Amino acid sequence: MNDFTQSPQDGFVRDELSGTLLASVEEVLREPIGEEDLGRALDRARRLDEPRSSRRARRFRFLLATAAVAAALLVVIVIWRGHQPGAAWATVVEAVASKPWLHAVTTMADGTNEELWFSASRAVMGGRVVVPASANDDAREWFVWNDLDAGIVDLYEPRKGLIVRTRETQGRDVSEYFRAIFTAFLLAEPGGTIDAGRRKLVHQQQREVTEQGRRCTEHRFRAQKEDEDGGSQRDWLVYVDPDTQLPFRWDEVSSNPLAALFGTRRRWDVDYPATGPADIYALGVPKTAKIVDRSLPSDVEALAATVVARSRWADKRFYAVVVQSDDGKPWWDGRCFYRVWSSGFRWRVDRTYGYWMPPGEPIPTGADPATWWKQKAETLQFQPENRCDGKWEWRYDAKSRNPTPADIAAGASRKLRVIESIEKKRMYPVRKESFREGYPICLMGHPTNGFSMPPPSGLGIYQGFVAGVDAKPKSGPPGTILLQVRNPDWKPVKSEHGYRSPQMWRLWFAPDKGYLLVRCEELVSQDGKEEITGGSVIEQATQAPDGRWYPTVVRRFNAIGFVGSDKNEDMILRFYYDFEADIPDSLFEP
Amino acid sequence: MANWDQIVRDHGPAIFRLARRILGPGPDAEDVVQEVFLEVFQFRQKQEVGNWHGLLRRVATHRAIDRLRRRRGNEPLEGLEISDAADAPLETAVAGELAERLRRAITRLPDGQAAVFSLRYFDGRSYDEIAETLGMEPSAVGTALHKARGKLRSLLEDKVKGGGQ
Repeated sequence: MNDFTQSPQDGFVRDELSGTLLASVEEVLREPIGEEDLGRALDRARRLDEPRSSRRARRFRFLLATAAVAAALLVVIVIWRGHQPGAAWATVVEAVASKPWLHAVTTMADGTNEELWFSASRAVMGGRVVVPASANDDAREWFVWNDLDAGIVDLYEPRKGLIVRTRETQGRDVSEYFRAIFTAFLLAEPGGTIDAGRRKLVHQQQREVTEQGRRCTEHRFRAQKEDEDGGSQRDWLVYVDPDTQLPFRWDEVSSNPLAALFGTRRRWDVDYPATGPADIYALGVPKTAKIVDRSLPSDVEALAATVVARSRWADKRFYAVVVQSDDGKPWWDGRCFYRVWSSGFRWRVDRTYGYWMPPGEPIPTGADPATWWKQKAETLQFQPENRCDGKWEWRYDAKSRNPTPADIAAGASRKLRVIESIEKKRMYPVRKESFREGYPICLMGHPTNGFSMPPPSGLGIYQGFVAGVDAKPKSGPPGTILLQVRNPDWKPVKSEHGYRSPQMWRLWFAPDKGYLLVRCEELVSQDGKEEITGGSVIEQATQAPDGRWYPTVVRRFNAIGFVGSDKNEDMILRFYYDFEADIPDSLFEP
Repeated sequence: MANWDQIVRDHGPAIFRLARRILGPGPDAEDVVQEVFLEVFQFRQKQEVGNWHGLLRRVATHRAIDRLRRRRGNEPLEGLEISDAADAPLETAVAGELAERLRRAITRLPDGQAAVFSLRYFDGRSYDEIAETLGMEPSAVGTALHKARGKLRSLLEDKVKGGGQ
C-alpha cells in the first residue's frame, strides 16, 4: 500500500540509488501504511477544528464530565445512602486537574526532603526523590521527569552525571512509585494499580476531621495486594479542603519494615503554584547533563514478544525425571535427581537428598536411559523443592542429616540423608506477563526455576540495561539469533561469597526450535578480556508431540564447586520426559 | 478560509504516509500528523495559507525527522546487524531491519540533507518540488541529495562489508 510506484519520478528516483541504500529505501516503501492508523491520525487532525485538545485533556474532559455527573448524582446518593466516597473523590480529581501544577514536599527523618511536581494538563510528573541507603550503597538522590502520555522516563543521578531515558514499559525505576500514585490515584479514578500492578488502590472511606486546625475531609485509600494475607500494607490519607476540593496534604502510612527508613507515617504538604518546571533541567539537573537513550530497540522488543508467543506456555504439560551429573560421567551416574511436573503456569519440582551410588551391576547394553531412569526414580525418595499453584511460588527448605546407626537399624537407607523437617515458604506471586525482578535472564535448563517457569515477556531486561539483537551472529550455534544485554553500570566487585554479578549476557535463540534459548553466557570483562562466569548450553533437545522443543541435555558452566579447588566444573542435566503423563491438579497444591 | 475538514481529507493521507515512512511503524507517525496539523491550524489563524501542500510537507518532514532524531539519536549504529533478508532466521521479528538501519542512519545527516532525502525517496518529489517545499534553490537540492546519498551509502555499506563490528 504505497504510492511510490505512482510517482512520476519513480524510475528516475530509483536510478539514483543502488546497493544497500536502494534495498533499504525499497524496504521502507514496502512497509504497509496502516489504514487504521491513517484513519485515526486523520480523525485526530480533524478534531483540531474543535477547541484545542490533547489526548490527556480529552481524558480530563471526560473526567470532568464524569465528575460533574458524579457530583450531581452525589446529592441524590447522599440523601439515599449517605456518603459515597468515589463520587466525592471525582470532585477532587476535577479540582486537581483544573490547577496548572501540583507541588508536594516531604521531609524525611534525617532532614532531607523530596519534592514532586505534577501537571494533569501537561501530563507530566517530575521531582527529586531519595533512594535510601542499603547494605550495598549509600542513599542516593535522583531527579525524575516523566512524560506520562508518551510513557518516557528520564532519570538523572548526580554521581553518574547522565540523564538516562527509558520507557515505562521497560521495567521498574525509582519514579515508578510516584508515577503510579499520580496516574492511578490522583489522575485517574481509584481502582488503578501500583507496584507494577501488584497492588490495587481501593478507596476505603471518607470522613470529616480537623487537621492543622481546620476542618477538612479525609479520604483514605489502601493499596491492597490480591491474595495477600497481611504482610506489608500501605494507606494514603488525603486531606481535602472542603471549599476548594483540593488536597492540601497527604500522609503515607505503611506497615512495611522498609518504611521505617522514612518513618512509618510520611507526610506530604501540597500546594498549587501557577508555574512549574519546564523540564528535568528546571529541577536542578546541570545543563551539561546529556540524555542517554536506553529505550529498548524495537527489534529487542520484537524478539522478546516472539519468544513468549512461541513458547505457548499456557498449555504446556509434561512430566520429567532430571538427572544431574558431573561433567564426563555417564548417563547412569548421577549426583542429584529431580522430578518435574509442569502444567501451564503451575509447576512442581521434587528432589532427592543424600547421595547416589552408581549401580554395582553393569547397565544392560542398549538400555533405554529414559525407561531406566523413570523406573529407578520410583525407588528413590524425593522431597518437595519448589511448587507453584498458579498464583504463588512456594519453596521448601528441608533440614536433613546423615543416617545414624540407629536410623539404619530402624530401616533407613545408608545412602540417603534423613529428613528431619520441611519448612514451606511462600515466595513470589506468579506474574504471567512479566518476569520477576531479581532473576537473571538465563536460568534455562535448571529444574528448580528456569526450566519450569514461564519465559518472561520482557526477557528480564532491567531498565537501564543496554540490549541489542544480532540476527546473524558470528558466534553461537548456527542459525540462531543473538540477544546481547549489558549492564552499563556494572562494577567489578565480588560479593562476600565471591560471586560476581554478570556484566553482560549473551543469549542465543533458535528459530528452528521454536525460539528455544539454546545457549546463554554470563560474562564479565576486565582489562579488555572477557570471561564467562556462568551460563548454560543445550547440547541436545527433543520435540514433543505438540511441536514444542525441550532440552534433553544441558551443560551449566562452572556450576559445581569442589572442596579444596577454587575452580568450578560444569554440571550436566539430563531430562527424561513423559508428555502423556497423567498430571492431576492436586500435585500443585502447596 | 478553507474548510478544515477538506484540508485534512485532501492532504492528510499524504502527510501521514510521509511521516510513516520517515518514522516507521508505531504511534509516532500518528502523533506527528497531529502536531503538524495543529501547527498549521494555528498558523492559518494568523495568516492566509497559499500552498497547503508545500506547507504541510515542510512541517511534516521537519517534525518527523526531529522525532526520529530524538528517538534514535543516542542509539549506537552498531546496535543492529545487517543480514541478508533471504536467510535471516529471525523471520518477522526483525523484518524491517534494513529500514530501521536506514532510519537510524538518516539521524546522522544534517537537517537539510535528511529532509531533502526523505522528500526525494520516501515521497517521490522532484527537485523543483523539494526546493519549493523547503525554500531552497533546486541546485542546492541536488547538492544536498548527493551528500546525503554518499553519507548514507557509507554508513550502510561499510557496515555490511565490515561485518557489523
